[in-house]
Amino acid sequence: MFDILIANLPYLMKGTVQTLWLAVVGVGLGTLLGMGLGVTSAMIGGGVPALIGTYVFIIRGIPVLVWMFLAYYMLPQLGLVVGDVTAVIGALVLYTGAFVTEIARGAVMAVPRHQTEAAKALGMRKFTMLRLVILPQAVTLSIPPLLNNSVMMIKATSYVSVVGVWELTYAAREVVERTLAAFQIFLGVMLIYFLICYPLTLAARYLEKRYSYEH
Amino acid sequence: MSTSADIPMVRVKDVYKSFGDLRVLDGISFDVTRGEVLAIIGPSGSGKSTMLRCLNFLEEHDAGEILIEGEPLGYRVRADGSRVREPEAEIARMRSNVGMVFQSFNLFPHRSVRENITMAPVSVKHVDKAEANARAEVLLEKVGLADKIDEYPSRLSGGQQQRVAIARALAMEPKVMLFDEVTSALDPELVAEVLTVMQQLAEEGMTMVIVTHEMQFAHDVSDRLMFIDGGKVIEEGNPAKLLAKPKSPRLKEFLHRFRASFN
Ligand SMILES: Nc1ncnc2c1ncn2[C@@H]1O[C@H](COP(=O)(O)OP(=O)(O)O)[C@@H](O)[C@H]1O
Ligand SMILES: [Mg+2]
Repeated sequence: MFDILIANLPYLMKGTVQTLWLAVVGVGLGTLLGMGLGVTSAMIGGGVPALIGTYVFIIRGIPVLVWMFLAYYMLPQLGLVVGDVTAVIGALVLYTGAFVTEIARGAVMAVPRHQTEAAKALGMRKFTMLRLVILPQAVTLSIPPLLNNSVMMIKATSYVSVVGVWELTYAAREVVERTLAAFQIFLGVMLIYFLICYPLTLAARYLEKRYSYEH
Repeated sequence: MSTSADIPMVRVKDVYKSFGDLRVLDGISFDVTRGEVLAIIGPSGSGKSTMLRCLNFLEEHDAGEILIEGEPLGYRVRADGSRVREPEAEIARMRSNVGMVFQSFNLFPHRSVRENITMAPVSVKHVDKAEANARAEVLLEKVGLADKIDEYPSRLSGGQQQRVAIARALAMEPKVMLFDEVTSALDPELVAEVLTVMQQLAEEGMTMVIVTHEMQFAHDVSDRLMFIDGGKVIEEGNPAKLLAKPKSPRLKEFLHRFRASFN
C-alpha cells in the first residue's frame, strides 16, 4: 500500500540530505553569529546593545518566508547577484542569529549577580570572569533553548522550496506531481522531519532537567 | 617596627554613598589596624552591607576615601580634591587583597569544591596548579572539609558551603577578610561550625571586619565593636563595655529591642 513511497524513498532521501545540509550550515552559522552578538550585547555598554537589539527586532518581526523572498528577489535588484542557495542560507543565518542572540543574551543575564560579585571579590577581571564563571553557566542554561531553536529552524528550511531551492519538501512536491500519491508521500515526509527533530527535542528536555542547578 | 605596621590595614575617610535620593553612608570614618577584628552591628538598613561592599569596591563610594594598607581603593584623590577612577586592572588587584564572604555563600555551582578554591589563585595570581591544589587541601583541612574536596557545592549543607566560601577567600591570601552576616542564611544548628572557623582565623591574627547579628560572638571574638545607624558610626569601643554600658540612646534602644526579641 506504501509502494509509491517506497519506490521514491531514495529520491526523498537525497532531499533529506539537502535539508540537513541547509540546516547544518544555516543554523550552525546563525547560532555562532547569535552567540557572539548575544554575549556582546549582555557584556558591554554604550550603543552596541541597542544596535544589536534593532537587528533582533527587525528580523524577528518579519516571517522567515518573507525573508526568503526578500533575499531571493531583492538582492539581485540591489545589484548583489548571489546563487539561490546562498541567498536562502543567508536568510536562514540571519533569522537563526536573531533568535540565538536573544537566547544567549538571556542566558548571560540569567547568571545571578551574586556570581559575578563573588568573582569580582576574588580579584577576577572582566574577561577571566566571563570565561570561568559566566559563560560556563550561561552555556548550560542556553543549551536546551538552542536545541529547541534548531528544531524550529530545521523545520523552517522547508520554506526554501518556495523560492525554488531544492530540498526534501521540494522533492516531495515533485514526486506528488508525478505520482499523484500526495497522502503517502507527505506521510513519509512528515515521518522524516519527525525523525530528525524528535531526538533533538528529547535531548533538549533531558538537558533542561539535568542542568537545573541550585544557586 | 617597620613603618608599614603603623599604616592602618583599612582606613575609611569621610565616605558618602547614596542610592538615588537615599543617603546610605553619611560621612563615615574609621580605621582597622593590622590583625584587628572589628565587629559592626546596627539596625537593618543602616548601611552595614553597603559599607562592607565599599571596602572591596562592589559598591563605589560617592565621596571620601578608602585606603587598603595605605593604597587608595577605586579612586585616587588628587591634591585639589578631585578624584580619578582607577583602571579596572588596578581595582581587580586591590580586590584580590580583600577577601569577602557573603551571606548567600555564592560558590560557583558549576565547579567542584577544589576548583572553587583554586580558580582565582590560578587565574588571577598565576599560582602554579599543583601548588594551588596543595593549598586548597590545607585550607579545607583547616575548615574541616578535607573529605569534600571533590564534591559539588549543591551537595553540601549551608554550613559546609559557607566554610568552603571562607576557604576560597583565604586561598587568595588576602590582607583583610570581610564577613557580611555570613551565618544569617544558615539553619541554627549550622551556625556554630562557621563561627568556630572565624574564631580560629581571628586567633591566628587575620584582620577581619565582621557584620553580624551574633552579639555573643561579637562580644567574644572582636577586639572592637562599632555600632552604626543612618550611615554613621554612633558609638564604638571595647565590645564588653559597649554591650554592658551603651552610652548613646540609639544603641541602648537597639540592644534593648535586640534582647527583647530573644525573650
Ligand atoms: N543597590 C541598591 N540600590 C538601592 N538601594 C539599596 C541598594 N543596596 C542597598 N540599598 C538600600 O540602602 C539601605 C542600606 O542597605 P544595607 O547597606 O544593605 O543595610 P544593612 O546591611 O545595614 O541592612 C537600605 O535602605 C537598602 O534598601
Ligand atoms: Mg546587610
